[in-house]
Amino acid sequence: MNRRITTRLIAAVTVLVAGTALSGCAVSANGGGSDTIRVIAQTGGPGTALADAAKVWNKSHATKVNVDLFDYDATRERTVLGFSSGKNSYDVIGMDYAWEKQYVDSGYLEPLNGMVKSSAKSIDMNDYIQAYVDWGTIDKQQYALPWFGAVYMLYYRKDLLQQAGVEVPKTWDEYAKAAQTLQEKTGVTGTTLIGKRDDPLLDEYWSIAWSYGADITKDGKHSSMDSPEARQAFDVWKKVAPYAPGDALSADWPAAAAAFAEGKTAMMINFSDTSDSLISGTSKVKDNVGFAPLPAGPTGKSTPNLGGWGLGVSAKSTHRQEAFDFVAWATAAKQQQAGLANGGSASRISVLSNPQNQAKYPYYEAALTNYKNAVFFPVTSHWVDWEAAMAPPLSSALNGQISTDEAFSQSSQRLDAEIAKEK
Amino acid sequence: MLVALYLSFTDTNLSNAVGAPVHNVGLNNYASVLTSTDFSSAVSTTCWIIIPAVVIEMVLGVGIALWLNRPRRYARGMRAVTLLPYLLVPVVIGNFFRMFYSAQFGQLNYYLSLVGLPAHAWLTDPATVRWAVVALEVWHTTPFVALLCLAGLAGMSPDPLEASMVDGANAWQRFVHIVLPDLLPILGAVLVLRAMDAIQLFDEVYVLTGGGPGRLTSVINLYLYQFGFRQFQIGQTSAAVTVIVVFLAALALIAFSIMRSRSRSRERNSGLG
Repeated sequence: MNRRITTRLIAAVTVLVAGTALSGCAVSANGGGSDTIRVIAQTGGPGTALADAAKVWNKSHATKVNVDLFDYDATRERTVLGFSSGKNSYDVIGMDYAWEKQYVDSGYLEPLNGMVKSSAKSIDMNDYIQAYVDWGTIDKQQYALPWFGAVYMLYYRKDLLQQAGVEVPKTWDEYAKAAQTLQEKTGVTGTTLIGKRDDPLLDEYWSIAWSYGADITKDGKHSSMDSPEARQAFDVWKKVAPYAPGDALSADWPAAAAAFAEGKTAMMINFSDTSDSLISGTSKVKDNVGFAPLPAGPTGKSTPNLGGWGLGVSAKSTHRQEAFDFVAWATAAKQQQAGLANGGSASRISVLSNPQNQAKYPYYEAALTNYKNAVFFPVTSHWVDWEAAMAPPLSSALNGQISTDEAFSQSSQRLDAEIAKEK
Repeated sequence: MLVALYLSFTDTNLSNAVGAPVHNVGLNNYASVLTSTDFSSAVSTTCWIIIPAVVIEMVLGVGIALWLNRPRRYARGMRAVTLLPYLLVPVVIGNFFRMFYSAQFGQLNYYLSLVGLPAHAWLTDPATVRWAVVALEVWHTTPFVALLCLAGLAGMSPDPLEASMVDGANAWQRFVHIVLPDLLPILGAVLVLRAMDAIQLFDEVYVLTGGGPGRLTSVINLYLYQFGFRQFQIGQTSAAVTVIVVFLAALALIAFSIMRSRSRSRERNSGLG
């Protein structure tokens, strides 16, 4: 009797587990028939703008578009699981550019050169921010059109800088000094520091370190993290830490933006797509926010980290041309302009340099300068692995668990080990 | 589980090209996992967090159950309120505690400031960040322990307690000599359940600290998430999962065999008495 019960119990558990696993593995888009273009993209302002654009498209096109929005990590998980299980049903693939090389190497994406060429006039590739076009090009093939943009920039409180008699910092040394002076003279925390593992920490650190002449790899084959320039940049960054919020090491981009919008810090460096929250109605500092290019390092260069997403076309799609037509239409200046009201973040020069837009979104001018200087992370299939290798030791060093020397030695060794796996 | 066992001997990586061949790598994945400093660090971090968490939960859980077991007005309502934290979704709890611990906006620092204590960066100070996770875990799951203990108390015969009161035993003596021995089988089960449950700790830590600073809060499931769902190294992740399952099975077997031997010993003792 007991044995029968046990056997039934095992069978029930097996069915339950298998059912749960299968429901988790089955990756298919919601709704839409065979003549529907299905899009997977990230949730948030630009995602909402894209979904709204799809509604406009659907009014005038026979082939309908259905947009599925997911959180950042979930978007990648669903895309990879969909392709690896052979059940991908998305025609348009939204992606952080950092993932693009892996998607290309794994055969997920359709090369777009031919389609771009045949619609060159209507697309106007020269109007996209050049860094995105470069980032989206692998082995001379374009695999994604720039969807939404984000670049690191400097934010400051105009009233507090005036009160403390501090000029807008143009170098990192001036930035560290300004943070100290602002805190001492105004009583407001000098600046933010975005130190949460893994991507937030690396985005901010490398925005500084590149301007010191440091690099992640020199040749793509060996880590060059353990360099005097990388340590020098880290030392300056650490110098800022006493003038940043106490929980800076657990802060990500929205947390830093929230602190700045609440009037808790006098400066901030952060991605440009946080700007709208600083000048919106709920911000306590909306009338006093200044925007500037990121400070420069000893090389004389300002090297803001480039973020942002592109839209590619699935190599497995049966509607590749229609999918491309939607991507080209949705990323056109007209749609980007329309999307601004719905949370969109432009990646086109004509939209960012439009005087009316610049009056309404006063950060556009500084953003354009930062886009021109922007640097993107190395194009590798294993960027996520590289991040996981580099970030933890730097995080440990930031709060004093290990020395800077140890951190860079460990980061470099771990990165070399990851690079070695690729060979 | 069998599929995971099979995958643990392969180099399966979901981010490889579609249709890419999968190779048998023998015990390589196990060697990688068992020699990985990240894995050993994740195991020790998990132990560091769950051992104090489970001990505190058991002590508090028994205390709350004893308190709730007393006949009083609104007893049902109080039991329901006590259970509330356990009913909340872990991600919500993680976000709530992130705000609660915030050095700038947090309620914890606000309350401390009322008694003249300085603000503290709970989630970035190496001395406090793990205790912050322990406190979250205790807040979340103590009601579960209390509920099970309450069920144990409700099932106890009142005769020995009444007899001991007639004999003049005080509250502490009644608790140590009568209540606690009767609760031990339940506490043993709770210990095993909570230990297994605590090893699954993920959502709260992911939201609260992301595993940082450094690797101070990188628990086992964050390690598995990193390898399985960010790097898609399913072969190596399956090997790590298998190692953890074997460890948990061994833990459960040891706990149950101890409980069984104690139970037999008690039966023998009561038979002799």
